[in-house]
Amino acid sequence: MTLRELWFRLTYPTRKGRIERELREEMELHLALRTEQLEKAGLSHRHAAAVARRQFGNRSRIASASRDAWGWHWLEGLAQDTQYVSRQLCRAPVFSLIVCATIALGIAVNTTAFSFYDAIAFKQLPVADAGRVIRVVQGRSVFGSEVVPFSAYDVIHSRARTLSAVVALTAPQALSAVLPGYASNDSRVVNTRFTTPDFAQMLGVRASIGRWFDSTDDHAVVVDHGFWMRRLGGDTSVVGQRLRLGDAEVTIIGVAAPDFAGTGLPAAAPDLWMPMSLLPTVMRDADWRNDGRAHWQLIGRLASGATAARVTAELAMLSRSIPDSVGKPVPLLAKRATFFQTDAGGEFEVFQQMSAAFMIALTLILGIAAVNLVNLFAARNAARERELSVRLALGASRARVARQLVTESVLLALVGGAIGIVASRGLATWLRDWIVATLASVSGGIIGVTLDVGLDWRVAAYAALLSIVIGLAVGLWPALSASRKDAGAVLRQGSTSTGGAGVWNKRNVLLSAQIASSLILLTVAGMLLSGMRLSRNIDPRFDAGHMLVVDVQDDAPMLERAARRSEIIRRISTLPGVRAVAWTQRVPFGGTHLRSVATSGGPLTISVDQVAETYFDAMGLPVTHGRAFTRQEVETNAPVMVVSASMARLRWPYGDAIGKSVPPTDPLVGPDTTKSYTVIGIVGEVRSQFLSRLNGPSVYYPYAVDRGYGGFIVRTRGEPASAIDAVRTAVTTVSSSLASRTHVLTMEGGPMALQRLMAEAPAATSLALAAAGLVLAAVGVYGVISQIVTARTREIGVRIAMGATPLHIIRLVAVRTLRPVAWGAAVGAFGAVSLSLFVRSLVATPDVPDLTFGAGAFSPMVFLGVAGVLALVVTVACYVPTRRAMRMDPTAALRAE
Amino acid sequence: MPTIARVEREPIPPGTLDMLILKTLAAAAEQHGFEIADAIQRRSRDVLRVEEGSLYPALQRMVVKGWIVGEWRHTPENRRARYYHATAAGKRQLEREIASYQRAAHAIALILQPV
Repeated sequence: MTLRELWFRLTYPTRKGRIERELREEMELHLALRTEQLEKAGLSHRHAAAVARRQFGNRSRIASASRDAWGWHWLEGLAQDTQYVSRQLCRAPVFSLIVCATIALGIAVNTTAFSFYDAIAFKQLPVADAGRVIRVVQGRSVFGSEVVPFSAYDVIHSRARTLSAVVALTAPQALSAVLPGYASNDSRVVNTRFTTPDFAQMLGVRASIGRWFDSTDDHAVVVDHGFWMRRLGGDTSVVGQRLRLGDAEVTIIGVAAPDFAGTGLPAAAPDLWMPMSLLPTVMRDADWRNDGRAHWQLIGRLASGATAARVTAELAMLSRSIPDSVGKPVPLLAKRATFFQTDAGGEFEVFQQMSAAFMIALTLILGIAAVNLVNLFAARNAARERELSVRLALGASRARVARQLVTESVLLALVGGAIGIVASRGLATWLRDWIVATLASVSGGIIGVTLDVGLDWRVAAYAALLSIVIGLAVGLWPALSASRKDAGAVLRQGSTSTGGAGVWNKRNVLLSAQIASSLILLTVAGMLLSGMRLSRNIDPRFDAGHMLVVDVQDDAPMLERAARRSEIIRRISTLPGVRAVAWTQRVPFGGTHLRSVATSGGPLTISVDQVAETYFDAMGLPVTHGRAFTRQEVETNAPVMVVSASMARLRWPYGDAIGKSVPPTDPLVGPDTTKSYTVIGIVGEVRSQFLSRLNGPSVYYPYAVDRGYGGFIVRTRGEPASAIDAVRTAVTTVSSSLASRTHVLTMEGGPMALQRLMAEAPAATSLALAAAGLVLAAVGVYGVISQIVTARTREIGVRIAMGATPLHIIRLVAVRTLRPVAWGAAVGAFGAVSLSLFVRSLVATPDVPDLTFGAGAFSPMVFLGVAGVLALVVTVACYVPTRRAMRMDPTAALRAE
Repeated sequence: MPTIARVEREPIPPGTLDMLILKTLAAAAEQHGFEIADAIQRRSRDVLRVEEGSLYPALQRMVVKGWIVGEWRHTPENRRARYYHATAAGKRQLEREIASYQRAAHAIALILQPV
């Protein structure tokens, strides 16, 4: 394109009027000259003028083709179409409203789902220049590889050249704190992260009120902005006030900036930020700086020109001087810092699996909605057949007519999309708040998550793109088929046709697809709902209704810790409301301890627990044969075991299991793999790994208080919640240093609620989705039958006039529709069964919870119920338009045309 | 009713209209639209029929491209008409189009000749 041409094209709008006038004049002249020429050849003036016009062709089409030469036509056409279409749509408010609302709903739900995905998948650390921030982690795949010993910080801080800054911080520590303005016995769980003193300065983090601590500060804390708003009432005067952690007092010197959500892993801002110098004061006995153990997350900033790979290379050399607690060098590597843990097994992987299932359901719903919209647009175009034909006859090109019809659907989709985005903001925030609140309540304030579901360009682009795609998808096919009509035929015929068989066949396929999709959604929802119902009344087979779970974090040396644990047990057991207290490696539902063993019958997953002698008593789990452990057996970690009845039956099907031994090579051997273990007792089956299923074959080994980690369970005589304070006090009287790190929850309100939530959340979500799908499918059925009735008004009138009975009319109108419905149901049933089989394979795995709570994968009752609901809805959707057809007044129907 | 003489007429092969217009204009200094249409018809001995209306979008396109220039004058019968003439760029374009058309025509002839 030459410059001159570009100039010509760009200035076209300023000269448009003249160009059009001149073109008209040119064409007039042409016609006049041709007419004269034909007249000279002997034609009459009228005949000559007609022939000239015919030879010339359609003038408005030629004028528009001339305009096209300037390259502005698409924009002009678009503006024209938009204007025209807006007027048309304003004249059909009900139609526009239904389409907008449907699309808005679809976009709102999808965009909300995407907001969450966006918030998790793409979230960087909320620090300055986040793209240049890396994490230093252990270069070996061990549990907790994201933390390293403090010596790594020392070495990197003083010697690394590829990093311009490095900070270290601990994972959040749950502490009990008395906040300013609260009574001195009203302690709350606060999550605290300890950092190197230059943390804020290095990462470019600021305080919104007061200031962040630096290396000169002692006993100074910064509170999280959200925590400050939630717990401290957003009161600016708290800066300078003190808060108590156990028997230590610290001063609040600042409130973090509102957008600082912490550094991730876990993805939540802690409530408090503290300099690491406070660590030994607040968590007595925790010498995390010097104990050589991996407690610290390291975050570094790349020096200019450095990359993560070069940091890793430098770390490989430095790691020789970084020993772990047993003196071995710790291999280190650098990787891109993300807010959520994106490695395998991290939060992100679980989230991805969940969101995949969720997105499938959402896509089905969007598909059902889209089919309705296709039908709506097709019906609207059919009703406007005449208008379109006239436009075609007057010289509008087919492409132009089709484009205009598509403009209509895209315009509505964009309006609907805009409403959808606005709605999704509210929906996403509400859902986020619900998730955060629920997690906090079932974990006693220990689990938190920060999800920034704000509108960023990715979310906006997603919603806009989705709107346009929907607009095109639902408008294109009806528009193409409408513009392909033979204009002459329609005009001559002068009436709306009954619609070709082809059109109906396509619509039948769409209708079938709708029915199939909603049947699948309903079946899944039905399965999960029956699971939820079962979870409400499920009996865990132990005395969960009278149970407290006590978590005590203690960093004292092992001997002292063991002494404290014994003392805690002694003090709690003497409390008046307490029936029994027990020490155990794993409290019920506190994680899973499963062992996969090879048996002659294939691999078998067994449940493994290590418990103290009072455990069975505290669980309310009677020992049916033999006896429980003795105190002495537990204290000496004796090679004895208690097995569940199913384990006994499985392993020793003939004769008594009591007294039988397993050799050290046996898969059932206990923690000391040099000894033979002997069965001393048999207990019943419980649900303590997952509430949704029995533990299955189980073994229990003795577990002394001087072993690594564990928790206490307390069985109360009365309402367990009323014993919480007494139990807390009993622990803190053992050592006041434990006060800040002791958490007591009821079994029902804590771990079991979380277990139920695993069934409730998906059930509620899928029910909502299935209901939306069902309503949309019903609208689809209704719409199709209505169209049949409208299109065949005359035919029905004739039939009634000829004496057709209501039954004939029903057969004529409804039965035709029920055939695709039946097809859809068949396909949907097949899909539902396949899905159920897939779910069955999932729930058959013992190391995941069974979301159907034993209702099974494919339950005929659920399926029949679902089919019944669907049949009812379809019948109602059929009834209304069919009744209209039956009650039709034949004379009115015939006159209407 | 008088009839007009009918000959077998062919529509203009697609893509050649620009070339025909340019050639017509190159031969005759300047012409207005009707003359161009007439000239094409006449010079092809009435075989090629310009769908007359389609001439005008083509002219418009060529004006935009800068191959031809239109100026308003008066016809000998004293009617206002836009007279077009080919520019230097238009003449170069004509040469290019003729060359490429002849290559194509030659190739087609090769295919059609008896084996």
